[in-house]
Amino acid sequence: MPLYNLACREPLDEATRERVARAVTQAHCEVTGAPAEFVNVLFVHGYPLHGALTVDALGGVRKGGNRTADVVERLRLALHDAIARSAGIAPGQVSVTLIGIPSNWVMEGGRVMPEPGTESQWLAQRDAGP
Amino acid sequence: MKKVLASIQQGAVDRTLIPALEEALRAEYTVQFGPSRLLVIWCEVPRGRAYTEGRLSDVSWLMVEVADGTAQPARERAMLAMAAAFARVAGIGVERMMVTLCDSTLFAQYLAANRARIRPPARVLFTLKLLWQIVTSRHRFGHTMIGTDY
Repeated sequence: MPLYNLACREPLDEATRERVARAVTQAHCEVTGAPAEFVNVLFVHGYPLHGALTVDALGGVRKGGNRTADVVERLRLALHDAIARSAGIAPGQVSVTLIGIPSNWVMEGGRVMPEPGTESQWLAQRDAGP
Repeated sequence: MKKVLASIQQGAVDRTLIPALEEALRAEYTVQFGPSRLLVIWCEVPRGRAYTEGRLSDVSWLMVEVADGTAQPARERAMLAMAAAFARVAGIGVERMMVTLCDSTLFAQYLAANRARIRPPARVLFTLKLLWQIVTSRHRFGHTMIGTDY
C-alpha cells in the first residue's frame, strides 16, 4: 500500500509505463515520506473514460497518522502532475482519486503496515528479523 | 456474499495453482470468520503492467471483504493466516504479498469508485463484459477470472 490503479483509455507502451510508474512512486514518496518499496502501480487498458481523460488513477493509500487532509490533497495534486508530465499528456487528460484505508487493515512483508509517519521504526523492526 | 479480489503477476505465481489457492483461501476464511458465502475473483496481471518500487512487480495482491467493524485482533489474525496459506500453496514468501482486509462499506466504495471512472453510456457494456468473463471463466476453468483490459 499504496496501490495505484491507472485506467488508460488506450494502451501505454512499455517505456511510458515505466516512466509513469517511477514518477508516481517518486511523487508519493516525496509528499508522504513513505519508502518506495511500499508503492505499487498497476496499468489497465481500454477503459472508456469520461470526457477527454486519457488516464484515470484510483489510489488506495494508508490513512491516519501524519496524513492530514492537506497532505492528502498535496499528494493528489503531485500525482496528477507526475502522471501528466511522465505520460506526456495535458493535465486536463488526467484524473486522480484517492481512497484512504486504515494502515492496520493492510499487511505487507508478513507484517501489519505502520501508521503513516512511523515507517522508519517499522522497517528497522522488519530488518532486525523475527 | 463477501468478495475476495486476488491478483497474481504473470510468471510469479503459476496460474494452474489457482484452484488450490482458492481452496486454501476459502478454508482459512471459514476458520477465521465461520462459514461464509465467498466469491473469489482472480486476475492474472500480464507481465509489464504492474510495478513495485518503480520496477516490474512480482507481488500478489489480495483484497478481502470482511464485516464492517471486524475487531482488529481478528482482522490481524486473518490477514496473517490467509497470507501464510496463500504463500504456502503458491510456493512464495509472504514478503511477496500485500493483503488488505477491508470492511464491506469501504470495499463497496472502492468498487464504486472503479466503476465511476467509466463514462455512464459505457457502463452497461462494461458490466456485461465483466459478467461474460465471470461466466465463461467459471465454465472453462472452474474459477472466476477477469482480465485487466476492457
